[in-house]
Amino acid sequence: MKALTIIILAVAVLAVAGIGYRMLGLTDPDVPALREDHDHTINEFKRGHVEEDEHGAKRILISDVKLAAAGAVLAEAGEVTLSDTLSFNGVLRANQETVVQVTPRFPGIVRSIRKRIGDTVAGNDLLASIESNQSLTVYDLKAPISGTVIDRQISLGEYASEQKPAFVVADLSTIWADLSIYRQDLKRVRSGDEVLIDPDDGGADIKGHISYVAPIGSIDTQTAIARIVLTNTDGRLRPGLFVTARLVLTKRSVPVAVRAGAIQTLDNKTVVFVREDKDKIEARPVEVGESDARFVEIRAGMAAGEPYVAENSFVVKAEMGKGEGEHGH
Amino acid sequence: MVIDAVLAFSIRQRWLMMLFVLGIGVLGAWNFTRLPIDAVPDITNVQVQINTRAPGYSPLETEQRITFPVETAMGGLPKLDYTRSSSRYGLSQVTVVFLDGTDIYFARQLVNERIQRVRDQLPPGVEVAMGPVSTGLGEIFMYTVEARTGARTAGGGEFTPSDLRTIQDWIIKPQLRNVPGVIEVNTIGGYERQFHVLPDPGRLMAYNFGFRDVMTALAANNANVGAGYIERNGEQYLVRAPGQVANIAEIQEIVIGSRGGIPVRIRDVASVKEGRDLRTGAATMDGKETVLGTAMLLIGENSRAVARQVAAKLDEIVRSLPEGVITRTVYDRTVLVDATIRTVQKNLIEGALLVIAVLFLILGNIRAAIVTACVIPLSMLFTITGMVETKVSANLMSLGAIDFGIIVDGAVIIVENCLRLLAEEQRRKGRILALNERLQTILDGSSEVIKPSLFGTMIIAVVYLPVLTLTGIEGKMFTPMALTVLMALLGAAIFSVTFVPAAVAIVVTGKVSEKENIFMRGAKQVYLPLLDGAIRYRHMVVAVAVVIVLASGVAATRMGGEFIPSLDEGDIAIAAIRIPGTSLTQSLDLQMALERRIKQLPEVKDFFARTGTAEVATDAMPPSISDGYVMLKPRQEWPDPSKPKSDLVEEIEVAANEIPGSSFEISQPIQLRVNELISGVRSDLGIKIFGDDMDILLGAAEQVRDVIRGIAGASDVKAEQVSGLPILTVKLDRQALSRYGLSIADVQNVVEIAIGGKSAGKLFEGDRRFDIVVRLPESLRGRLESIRAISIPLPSAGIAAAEATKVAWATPPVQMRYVPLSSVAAVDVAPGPNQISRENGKRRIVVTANVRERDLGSFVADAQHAVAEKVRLPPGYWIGWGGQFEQLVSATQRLTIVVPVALVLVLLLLFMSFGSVADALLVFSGVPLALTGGVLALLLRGLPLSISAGVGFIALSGVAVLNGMVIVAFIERLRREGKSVWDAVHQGASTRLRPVLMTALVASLGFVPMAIATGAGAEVQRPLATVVIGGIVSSTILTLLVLPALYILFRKDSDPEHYRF
Repeated sequence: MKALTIIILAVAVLAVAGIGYRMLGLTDPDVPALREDHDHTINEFKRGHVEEDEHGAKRILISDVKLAAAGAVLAEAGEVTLSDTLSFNGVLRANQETVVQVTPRFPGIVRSIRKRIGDTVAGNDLLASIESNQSLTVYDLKAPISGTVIDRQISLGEYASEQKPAFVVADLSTIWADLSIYRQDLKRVRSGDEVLIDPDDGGADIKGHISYVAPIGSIDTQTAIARIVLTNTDGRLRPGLFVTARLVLTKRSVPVAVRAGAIQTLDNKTVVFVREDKDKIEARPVEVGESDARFVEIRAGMAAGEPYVAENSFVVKAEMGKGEGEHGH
Repeated sequence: MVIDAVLAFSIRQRWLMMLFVLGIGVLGAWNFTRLPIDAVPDITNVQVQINTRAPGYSPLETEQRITFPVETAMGGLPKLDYTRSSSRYGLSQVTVVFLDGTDIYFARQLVNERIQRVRDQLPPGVEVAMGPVSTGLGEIFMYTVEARTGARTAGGGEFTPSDLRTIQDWIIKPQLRNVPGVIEVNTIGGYERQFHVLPDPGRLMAYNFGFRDVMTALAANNANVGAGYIERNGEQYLVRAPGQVANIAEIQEIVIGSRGGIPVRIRDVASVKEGRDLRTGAATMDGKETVLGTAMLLIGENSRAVARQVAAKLDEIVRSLPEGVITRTVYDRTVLVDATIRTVQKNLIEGALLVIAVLFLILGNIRAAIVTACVIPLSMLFTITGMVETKVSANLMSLGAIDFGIIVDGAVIIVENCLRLLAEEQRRKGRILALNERLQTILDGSSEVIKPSLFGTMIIAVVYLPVLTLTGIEGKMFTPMALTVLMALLGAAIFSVTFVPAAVAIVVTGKVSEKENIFMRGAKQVYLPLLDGAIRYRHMVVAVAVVIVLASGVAATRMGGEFIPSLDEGDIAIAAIRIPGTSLTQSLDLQMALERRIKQLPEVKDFFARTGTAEVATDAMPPSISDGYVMLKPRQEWPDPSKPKSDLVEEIEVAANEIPGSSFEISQPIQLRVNELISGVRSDLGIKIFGDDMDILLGAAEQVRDVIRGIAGASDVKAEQVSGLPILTVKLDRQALSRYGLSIADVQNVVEIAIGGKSAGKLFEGDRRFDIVVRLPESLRGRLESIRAISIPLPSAGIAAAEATKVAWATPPVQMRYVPLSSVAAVDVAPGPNQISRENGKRRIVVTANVRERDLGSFVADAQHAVAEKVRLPPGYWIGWGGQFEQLVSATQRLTIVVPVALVLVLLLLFMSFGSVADALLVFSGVPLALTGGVLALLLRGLPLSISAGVGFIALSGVAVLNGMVIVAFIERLRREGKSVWDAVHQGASTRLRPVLMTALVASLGFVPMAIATGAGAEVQRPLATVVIGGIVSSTILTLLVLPALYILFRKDSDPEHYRF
């Protein structure tokens, strides 16, 4: 009898212990709720759909519908004419070839002045009369060219020296715009390139051409000057003011180019997502060449006519990388 | 004895007793109004978040300059558990976790002291703030601020996101913050209004000014000064000298300096306009951008009450908003809490009604039934008082385990016995009893069974004790449950010695019929032949019982398990995770596409999301992650109202995966938030590698990952994604700088202002204040090429050069004195750390793994061995092991000690009650018998073995023992009276059929509503109720049949003399 008691007791304790232990969910290996089963199955699926070939190029299955849902747009690679611009700051200067400093030939006292700063003068117009100290005769100071009086250093009764220009007459119908070109841009700037000058006065840009690129640079700023000669018949351009200029680089046609939005970096490689047959997209490593604001030349890696993800291509990159990210808190 | 004295007193002073009971009831009712009610238990640990905003800082700088000093300062705080931190772009978050039970205000005080100490070491301009005093359940109310279509601002334009944000920040938020119980109103979405001063570098240089001059001018021309007062003819005149700018025009007029006697104003060198901040987060709803406000609950407040007040306040505020602007409540905790309360209420009321019905059916006395049923609300009110006192909040878990059937068991036994004795007495005397006779009978009846009744209650209480020893998350979930049950049991026990006899004495007056009603007669007719059969074939019966127990034990080990139950919150949260480095704009595009897709599902009401970090960084997310909330329509509006939620979740998942570019984690709003706060390693195993160098850590993590992947049973092995954030580095060339005479700071300053912008004071509009930010125009900072071309002004080359610039026509040609950024620095883009995590003051990286088809313990042992063998770490690097397995191990260890101890305690109680080991063991045999029914019921319903079910088993053990006690005690008494074992067993079993059936039916029927409930919270209660019902059914049948058989088998020769009753 005692033995039976013990057996029953043992059975009872075993059952209790068994259930108690199970309540902790430990003995059974496939206890699903111990982990986020659900999430991980999904993640596995996600990771599973990125495959890698022997060259290390990643492929992914993604349908056009899915791409469209995320706003990604496909386009075909093809020939494109690149036209890029560079921006420079510059300063307007009077055309130094038409600036004349009128200096009295003999020192003397200024007896009369005919022109003020800003007056327009024609060639040979009387600017001032000076009584020479040597001969005590009055001689005329005449405008050597037609133009505008932009500076006057003498006043009536003053002593005018032959050391110092009394007037500066400039012909402002043409103006120089001197652009400072950085070292690294110098190779892209050629004489004759088209430039759009914005005088920042609210008006339209002024078109011009580079007439001169300085053969010497400036010690201070490590730049060289590119000069545009602008006509200034309406007096809109005033020497001394700063301007900005956009240089239109020579247009160049390239055989294979993609839109700028197509370029992505994946695993430290520059890639374009190229649509292959069916739903496959390959992250194709490419070598890029020149570019402008809209297009990028592809030197190697793609052929003309290949479809690629042109806009919102980040979505494809994100799709390839997803599953690696975590809810990192 | 004390109990007898109490019983006698209660019966004698029965009216006084009623008054006492009424008092307890009123106290309970009053406490009910103070009881914090929540949907789910709060499992957040005691933590203080220190958020430091460092605009523009990259993760590396954030860590070095801010996180490290702050974190180091927190070392050695009293009651500190651990610290962890994460450093991201522009934000350092240090979380200081204290030991459970630490007072949060004490903890914050400590943290604050340390912050003060370290503040000097932080770079100027960073703001250190502690996170709100809230918990994972804190986000109780969310609303969006929207403009009706076609609504116009006062100026006639459409409402911009900045306008809506301004309304939220300066009209709604200040008012909502004043609602009692709201600790914080967090805002995300829209743009903060700013005033942007956008200098044209060319013009600045033309005037020979630098950015610094602009900043200084702005700072020096935007302040009000108070100048005391003067007295004049007995009056006092206050003097003030206002100088603040009030609008854009005034900013434009600020003078920077003069050139040639001409003042140079801001407008001469810069354009000034209203702009947007560089935001770190945004909110979207149903495919559009929106402004989202979140009211956060102060710790310990009543979420329902506060959410209601917030809603009421918001209604009030809306009336004062500009015409056309509305707020929309998108998430209101009240809904969930109300649903929860409804579930609990419904279950309790239905349970109570069933209990009354059963009592009436069996006792045949409606008055006695009502007296017994009164114990239910009374002990409930008692429990509520106890909950308020012990600060246990009412929620699905804490109220879920209360089975009033079990709780009234003690009272049932007393009432039944009193009725039986009263009826016998009446029959014996042949008349209705006089008052004193009746009182005496009731006293006899009560004291006869009070001991087994109290012992039974005690046993049920004892089996709940192991639950109290749980710690951590399990502890926070289940301890309140055990506490409330214990309190309810205590209340029931108190009422059964005081209220029950007193009420019986008052209420049961007239004739008490002893005649059994149809139900009991029928039951007896079925039972007696069965009992005879069981006794006759006792060996077989016992053998069958043993087989059943063994079989169910085996079945139990094959069942699926679930560690912590998840509570259905009714709504769904979708975290969309994109690769690190995804820009906010891109994230928003993807998120809005997702929202539009999900919104097409007919069950979805709204879908709103937060992307990135909100104003108060309670959740420091990078812009690549969105936390989305899918609000569902009420079920009756679904095309198929009976569709299981899991199906819907699946549909949502499929729909979400149609949008490429994100991976998704689906959970629920509260769950999501709590996980963010606890933020432990959520997989089975987390291997933390600590060290200094990110690259070495990353390499080590990859090694560990590969080693773990090679171990059998490993799945989902992942190394933490810490890199991959594209970082544009401006590498300054010191030699080039020195040639130009520039200092590093000159260039950094320009880069900082140019790209990020720099605040140069505030503009006040009444209370509202907006930053004035100096930044380069968008055209000069947007693209990589433009950044390379940012002009760095050179220091002036002296007076000669300066004069030369004045003479426009002079030779040599004038050149501007600046260099492009690219000539003094290399601008490179390379992936850098996305986030730097630290724990206890050291950088760490985590490799996580789950374990499948293998037992966790041995897997961890294997993994530790393999890692120790194969992974070589440089000095200064070490590995820590953590994850869910820690909790599992600790819980297992605890329970493997405590559960047997509790069972031994039960045995001890039984032994105390019977004074015989054999009797105690016999009664104890009811436990495994009961468990079989529980297992069977779970199997039949296809439910997994969860902790909820486990708690059910615990309750069951108590009830089973109680049943056995009732029968064995009676049999022993009969034997003491001289009956033979056979007769005693037969008579005892048949006489005690009524109380056994009654307690069993009451306890199981009381749980029926819970077992079949489908409302909020049902998933927690269902397994528990199922186990109890199944177990009680089996234990009753087995007690009634197997126990007599066992008794006859084992007690033939024993002598019942030492029976102590």
